[in-house]
Amino acid sequence: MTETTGQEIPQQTPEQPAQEKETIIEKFRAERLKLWKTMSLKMKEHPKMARVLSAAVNATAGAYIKLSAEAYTGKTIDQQQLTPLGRIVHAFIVTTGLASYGLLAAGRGELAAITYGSSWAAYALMYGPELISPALQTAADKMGDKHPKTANVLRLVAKTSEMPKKLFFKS
Amino acid sequence: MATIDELIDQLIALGEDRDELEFWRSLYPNISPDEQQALLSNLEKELEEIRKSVVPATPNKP
Repeated sequence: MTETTGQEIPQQTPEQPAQEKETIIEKFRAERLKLWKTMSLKMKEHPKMARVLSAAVNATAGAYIKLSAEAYTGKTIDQQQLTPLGRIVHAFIVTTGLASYGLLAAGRGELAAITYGSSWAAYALMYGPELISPALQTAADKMGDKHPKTANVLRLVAKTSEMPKKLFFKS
Repeated sequence: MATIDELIDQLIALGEDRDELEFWRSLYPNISPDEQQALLSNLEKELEEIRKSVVPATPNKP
Protein backbone atom coordinates (compact mmCIF):
# COMPACT_ATOMS: atom_id res chain seq x y z
CA MET A 1 0.00 0.00 0.00
CA THR A 2 1.32 3.38 -0.92
CA GLU A 3 1.03 6.27 1.49
CA THR A 4 0.48 9.77 0.23
CA THR A 5 1.80 13.00 1.71
CA GLY A 6 0.52 16.54 1.61
CA GLN A 7 3.34 17.52 -0.73
CA GLU A 8 2.24 15.27 -3.56
CA ILE A 9 0.36 16.75 -6.47
CA PRO A 10 -2.88 14.90 -7.22
CA GLN A 11 -3.77 14.15 -10.80
CA GLN A 12 -6.61 15.65 -12.77
CA THR A 13 -9.42 13.17 -13.41
CA PRO A 14 -12.23 13.15 -15.96
CA GLU A 15 -14.69 13.67 -13.09
CA GLN A 16 -13.01 16.97 -12.20
CA PRO A 17 -12.93 18.87 -15.48
CA ALA A 18 -10.20 21.33 -16.27
CA GLN A 19 -12.84 24.07 -16.31
CA GLU A 20 -13.00 24.05 -12.52
CA LYS A 21 -9.26 24.50 -12.24
CA GLU A 22 -9.34 27.32 -14.77
CA THR A 23 -12.03 29.07 -12.76
CA ILE A 24 -9.86 28.90 -9.64
CA ILE A 25 -6.82 30.17 -11.54
CA GLU A 26 -8.78 33.09 -12.97
CA LYS A 27 -10.09 34.05 -9.53
CA PHE A 28 -6.67 34.21 -7.90
CA ARG A 29 -5.12 35.85 -10.95
CA ALA A 30 -7.70 38.62 -10.68
CA GLU A 31 -6.66 39.17 -7.05
CA ARG A 32 -3.05 39.45 -8.11
CA LEU A 33 -4.02 42.02 -10.72
CA LYS A 34 -5.58 44.11 -7.97
CA LEU A 35 -2.33 43.87 -6.04
CA TRP A 36 -0.44 44.98 -9.13
CA LYS A 37 -2.76 47.95 -9.55
CA THR A 38 -2.07 49.04 -5.96
CA MET A 39 1.64 48.76 -6.57
CA SER A 40 1.31 50.81 -9.76
CA LEU A 41 -0.48 53.57 -7.90
CA LYS A 42 2.30 53.63 -5.33
CA MET A 43 4.82 54.10 -8.12
CA LYS A 44 3.14 57.24 -9.36
CA GLU A 45 3.43 58.84 -5.92
CA HIS A 46 7.18 58.61 -5.97
CA PRO A 47 8.36 61.98 -7.35
CA LYS A 48 11.98 61.16 -8.05
CA MET A 49 11.08 58.08 -10.00
CA ALA A 50 8.51 60.01 -12.00
CA ARG A 51 11.03 62.70 -12.89
CA VAL A 52 13.47 60.13 -14.18
CA LEU A 53 10.77 58.47 -16.22
CA SER A 54 9.28 61.67 -17.54
CA ALA A 55 12.65 62.48 -19.07
CA ALA A 56 12.74 59.11 -20.80
CA VAL A 57 9.37 59.00 -22.49
CA ASN A 58 7.05 61.31 -24.39
CA ALA A 59 3.51 61.29 -25.74
CA THR A 60 0.58 63.22 -27.14
CA ALA A 61 -2.93 63.65 -25.77
CA GLY A 62 -4.38 61.77 -28.72
CA ALA A 63 -2.71 58.57 -27.59
CA TYR A 64 -4.82 58.62 -24.44
CA ILE A 65 -8.01 58.45 -26.43
CA LYS A 66 -6.73 55.39 -28.25
CA LEU A 67 -5.59 53.74 -25.01
CA SER A 68 -8.84 54.56 -23.29
CA ALA A 69 -10.78 52.78 -26.01
CA GLU A 70 -8.46 49.81 -25.78
CA ALA A 71 -8.83 49.56 -22.01
CA TYR A 72 -12.58 49.52 -22.44
CA THR A 73 -12.80 47.03 -25.28
CA GLY A 74 -9.87 44.84 -24.34
CA LYS A 75 -8.46 45.07 -27.84
CA THR A 76 -5.82 47.22 -29.41
CA ILE A 77 -6.54 49.08 -32.63
CA ASP A 78 -4.58 46.44 -34.52
CA GLN A 79 -6.84 43.81 -32.97
CA GLN A 80 -4.44 42.35 -30.43
CA GLN A 81 -6.38 41.03 -27.48
CA LEU A 82 -5.34 42.50 -24.15
CA THR A 83 -5.01 40.31 -21.09
CA PRO A 84 -6.58 41.45 -17.79
CA LEU A 85 -3.22 42.82 -16.75
CA GLY A 86 -2.92 44.61 -20.06
CA ARG A 87 -6.27 46.29 -19.53
CA ILE A 88 -5.30 47.41 -16.04
CA VAL A 89 -2.07 48.95 -17.24
CA HIS A 90 -3.95 50.63 -20.07
CA ALA A 91 -6.44 52.07 -17.61
CA PHE A 92 -3.58 53.24 -15.41
CA ILE A 93 -1.94 54.97 -18.37
CA VAL A 94 -5.14 56.75 -19.29
CA THR A 95 -6.04 57.81 -15.76
CA THR A 96 -2.65 59.19 -14.80
CA GLY A 97 -2.04 60.67 -18.23
CA LEU A 98 -5.28 62.60 -18.42
CA ALA A 99 -4.89 63.70 -14.81
CA SER A 100 -1.59 65.32 -15.70
CA TYR A 101 -3.28 67.59 -18.24
CA GLY A 102 -5.84 68.63 -15.65
CA LEU A 103 -3.15 69.35 -13.07
CA LEU A 104 -1.18 71.39 -15.57
CA ALA A 105 -4.27 73.45 -16.36
CA ALA A 106 -4.75 73.99 -12.64
CA GLY A 107 -1.25 75.35 -12.28
CA ARG A 108 0.14 72.37 -10.43
CA GLY A 109 3.02 71.74 -12.77
CA GLU A 110 5.19 69.57 -10.56
CA LEU A 111 2.40 67.16 -9.72
CA ALA A 112 1.44 67.10 -13.38
CA ALA A 113 4.99 66.07 -14.25
CA ILE A 114 4.78 63.21 -11.78
CA THR A 115 1.52 61.82 -13.11
CA TYR A 116 2.63 62.35 -16.68
CA GLY A 117 5.89 60.53 -16.10
CA SER A 118 4.17 57.69 -14.30
CA SER A 119 1.69 57.29 -17.09
CA TRP A 120 4.40 56.93 -19.66
CA ALA A 121 6.42 54.65 -17.46
CA ALA A 122 3.46 52.29 -17.63
CA TYR A 123 3.30 52.74 -21.38
CA ALA A 124 6.97 51.91 -21.66
CA LEU A 125 6.46 48.79 -19.57
CA MET A 126 3.98 47.49 -22.09
CA TYR A 127 5.38 48.67 -25.38
CA GLY A 128 8.99 49.63 -24.94
CA PRO A 129 10.68 47.59 -22.22
CA GLU A 130 13.93 47.56 -24.15
CA LEU A 131 14.07 51.34 -23.68
CA ILE A 132 13.16 51.62 -20.06
CA SER A 133 14.82 48.74 -18.26
CA PRO A 134 18.51 49.57 -18.80
CA ALA A 135 17.88 53.24 -18.00
CA LEU A 136 16.14 52.40 -14.75
CA GLN A 137 18.77 49.89 -13.70
CA THR A 138 21.50 52.47 -14.27
CA ALA A 139 19.59 55.15 -12.38
CA ALA A 140 18.93 52.77 -9.49
CA ASP A 141 22.60 51.80 -9.27
CA LYS A 142 23.69 55.43 -9.25
CA MET A 143 21.38 56.49 -6.45
CA GLY A 144 21.56 53.21 -4.52
CA ASP A 145 23.52 54.46 -1.48
CA LYS A 146 22.15 57.98 -1.20
CA HIS A 147 18.51 57.21 -1.93
CA PRO A 148 17.91 53.53 -1.20
CA LYS A 149 14.10 53.79 -1.21
CA THR A 150 14.03 55.50 -4.57
CA ALA A 151 16.52 53.00 -5.94
CA ASN A 152 14.30 50.16 -4.77
CA VAL A 153 11.29 51.60 -6.57
CA LEU A 154 13.34 52.04 -9.73
CA ARG A 155 14.51 48.44 -9.55
CA LEU A 156 10.93 47.33 -9.11
CA VAL A 157 9.87 49.14 -12.27
CA ALA A 158 12.91 47.83 -14.12
CA LYS A 159 12.04 44.28 -13.10
CA THR A 160 8.50 44.87 -14.18
CA SER A 161 9.66 46.09 -17.55
CA GLU A 162 11.29 42.74 -18.18
CA MET A 163 8.02 40.89 -18.00
CA PRO A 164 6.98 39.13 -21.18
CA LYS A 165 4.48 40.81 -23.47
CA LYS A 166 2.35 37.71 -23.11
CA LEU A 167 1.17 39.23 -19.83
CA PHE A 168 -0.34 42.15 -21.70
CA PHE A 169 -1.39 40.71 -25.04
CA LYS A 170 -3.18 37.48 -25.74
CA SER A 171 -1.46 35.47 -28.44
CA MET B 1 5.02 28.35 5.66
CA ALA B 2 6.08 27.61 2.09
CA THR B 3 8.48 29.97 0.35
CA ILE B 4 7.57 31.99 -2.72
CA ASP B 5 9.74 29.69 -4.84
CA GLU B 6 8.04 26.54 -3.56
CA LEU B 7 4.57 27.95 -4.11
CA ILE B 8 5.31 29.15 -7.61
CA ASP B 9 7.00 25.92 -8.64
CA GLN B 10 4.02 23.88 -7.44
CA LEU B 11 1.48 26.15 -9.11
CA ILE B 12 3.33 25.98 -12.41
CA ALA B 13 3.38 22.20 -12.12
CA LEU B 14 -0.39 22.32 -11.68
CA GLY B 15 -0.88 24.35 -14.84
CA GLU B 16 -0.65 27.99 -13.76
CA ASP B 17 0.82 30.47 -16.22
CA ARG B 18 4.59 30.27 -16.01
CA ASP B 19 5.26 33.74 -17.40
CA GLU B 20 2.97 35.50 -14.97
CA LEU B 21 4.30 33.65 -11.95
CA GLU B 22 7.92 34.19 -12.97
CA PHE B 23 7.06 37.87 -13.13
CA TRP B 24 5.83 37.78 -9.55
CA ARG B 25 8.86 35.76 -8.48
CA SER B 26 11.17 38.45 -9.86
CA LEU B 27 9.19 41.25 -8.22
CA TYR B 28 8.99 39.61 -4.81
CA PRO B 29 12.36 40.81 -3.37
CA ASN B 30 11.54 44.39 -4.39
CA ILE B 31 8.08 44.81 -2.92
CA SER B 32 7.10 45.79 0.61
CA PRO B 33 6.59 43.22 3.39
CA ASP B 34 2.82 43.80 3.27
CA GLU B 35 2.76 43.21 -0.47
CA GLN B 36 4.93 40.13 -0.05
CA GLN B 37 2.49 38.77 2.51
CA ALA B 38 -0.49 39.49 0.29
CA LEU B 39 1.16 37.71 -2.60
CA LEU B 40 2.15 34.70 -0.51
CA SER B 41 -1.37 34.42 0.87
CA ASN B 42 -2.85 34.61 -2.62
CA LEU B 43 -0.57 31.87 -3.94
CA GLU B 44 -1.07 29.61 -0.92
CA LYS B 45 -4.85 29.80 -1.20
CA GLU B 46 -4.76 29.18 -4.92
CA LEU B 47 -2.56 26.13 -4.46
CA GLU B 48 -4.88 24.80 -1.78
CA GLU B 49 -7.99 25.24 -3.91
CA ILE B 50 -6.44 23.71 -6.99
CA ARG B 51 -5.28 20.71 -5.00
CA LYS B 52 -8.77 20.22 -3.65
CA SER B 53 -10.23 20.49 -7.13
CA VAL B 54 -8.03 17.77 -8.56
CA VAL B 55 -8.35 15.16 -5.82
CA PRO B 56 -9.16 11.90 -7.63
CA ALA B 57 -12.76 10.76 -7.24
CA THR B 58 -13.38 7.57 -5.25
CA PRO B 59 -13.68 4.71 -7.76
CA ASN B 60 -17.04 2.93 -7.97
CA LYS B 61 -17.16 -0.58 -6.58
CA PRO B 62 -17.83 -3.29 -9.17
